[in-house]
Amino acid sequence: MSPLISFFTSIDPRQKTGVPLKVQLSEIDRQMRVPVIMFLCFAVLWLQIGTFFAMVSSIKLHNPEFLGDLSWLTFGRTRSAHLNSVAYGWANNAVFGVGLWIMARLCKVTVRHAGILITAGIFWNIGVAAGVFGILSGGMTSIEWLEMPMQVAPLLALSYAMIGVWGVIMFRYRALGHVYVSQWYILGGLFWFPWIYMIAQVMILWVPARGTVQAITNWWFAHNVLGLWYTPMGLAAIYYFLPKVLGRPIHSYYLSVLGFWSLALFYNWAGVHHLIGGPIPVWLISAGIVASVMMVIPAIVTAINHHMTAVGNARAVWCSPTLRFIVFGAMSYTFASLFGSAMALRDINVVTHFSQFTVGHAHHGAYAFFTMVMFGSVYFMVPRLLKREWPSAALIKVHFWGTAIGIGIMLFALHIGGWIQGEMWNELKDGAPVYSNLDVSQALVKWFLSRSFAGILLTIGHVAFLVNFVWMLAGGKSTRYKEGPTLIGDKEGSTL
Amino acid sequence: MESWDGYLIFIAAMGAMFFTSAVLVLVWALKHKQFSKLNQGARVIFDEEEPEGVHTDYFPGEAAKAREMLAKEEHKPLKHATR
Repeated sequence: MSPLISFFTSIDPRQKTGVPLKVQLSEIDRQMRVPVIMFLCFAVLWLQIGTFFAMVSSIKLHNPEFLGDLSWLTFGRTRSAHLNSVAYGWANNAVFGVGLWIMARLCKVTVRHAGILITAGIFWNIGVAAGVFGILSGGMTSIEWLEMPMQVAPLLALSYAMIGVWGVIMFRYRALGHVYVSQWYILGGLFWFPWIYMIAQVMILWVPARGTVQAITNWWFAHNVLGLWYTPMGLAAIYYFLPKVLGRPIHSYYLSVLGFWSLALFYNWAGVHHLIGGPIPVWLISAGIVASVMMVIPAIVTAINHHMTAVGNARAVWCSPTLRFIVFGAMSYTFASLFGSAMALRDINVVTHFSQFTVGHAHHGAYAFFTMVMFGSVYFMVPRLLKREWPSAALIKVHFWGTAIGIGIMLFALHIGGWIQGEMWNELKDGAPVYSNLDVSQALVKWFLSRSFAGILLTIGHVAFLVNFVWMLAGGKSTRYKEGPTLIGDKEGSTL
Repeated sequence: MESWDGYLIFIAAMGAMFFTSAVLVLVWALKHKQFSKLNQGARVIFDEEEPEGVHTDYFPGEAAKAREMLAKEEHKPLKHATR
């Protein structure tokens, strides 16, 4: 057998036939344990780093002198370091861990050569660390969501290719039968992310287009990172964990499939609404607005489905750490999507554009929806991978309340403050602005203070999560699993 | 590419390819009957360890109390996953 054929044979992840499902799933968890836990470790680490930069940036908005003498920690750098730490550090590592684990479980296949996955994951994180260092040292680009120095991109792209391909391999060799809606979402995301990332890199940084075409590409990319990468992964997790934990199938599977295909066919166009009023062809903006409004379809479809699945099970949701976060995230998805569609309408966009309202909307999608869903997913997965229970229920509750109240206050402050900001900018008298930029900035101070307060609550939640996670890895209270979700042993205190 | 139009055509082509790929996968799914028997498809997430009808996640140390509370609420016998 030639070495090439031998290699392809060796990556065949199908399990032997005739093996009981229970054994198959156990083997999948065993094979996925090291790479998934590694991705989650990186994710949790980047979450803390991103939170630090977020706090520094937030304080600077109402107290500009704060760390003002340090060039590495000026607002422009910390804000971008925050975005890139949480987007490429926290969110992507969480996606790699959660998405690949769900894919493996649904495909009922294992990962051969997990070493390649682990190596790629390490290189991905080296790339992100180098990128964030580049931003802090003043080497950032001016392109939002692509601020890392362009030299980092090849390493990230290569690492991603070596990670994402395992999802595709799993799908290719999946156990025959129905493709569950979560598999569709994950597979879609795995294809869409490299596509948009590479095109944006090439057209903006490597072979730069001229003028406003860069802006079009920039917002096509930035919006699609949220909509075609984080959103499908978040929805995949909701569609897997919500029915799984409740023990009841999704209310309407038909609607879930409809939701996926409407996202797949129309979301790609929506990003241009960020350029409403900009010097680009009107038809392009109109197409973006139409696509944005059409996103009401997956939002409503998903909302109905999630609500009808969980309805009547409020107490069951409350008893589950996973579902507390997942349901919070699912509700946030609906509201964030509907807000997003509304913000694409010209009459509303004229107020929200450039204001803190948009910042609030980004946190609505990226945190209240996506991040909360990832938290819930981690609470479900880790006990099953490590075969031990979370050490502290109290820390989980601190995590939930800190993040839920924190993001709630932040969204309220940014949406209301942002709307006031937009209205003040637009206020004209005899064709001249009524309010100066100083007036607008002063009016925003109390909302920025609210945001910093919200940030403190979020930080408390994240630290609680970190402590519980590290404690879990260290093996704290490892014999208590029988009482919790994993249900491995016959009695509390039995060994593995 | 020097001209603005060239880039715009490129972007439009990318969008069209994106759309086309989605349509092609949709056709594949139709051909492979992924849209038939959807009710059965919705149940593929359950297995013998975590079967349909069983709540499978609780706060650590609070499982017994939660099960009792849920069972009382549903007016049915206690059920939980065991191996």
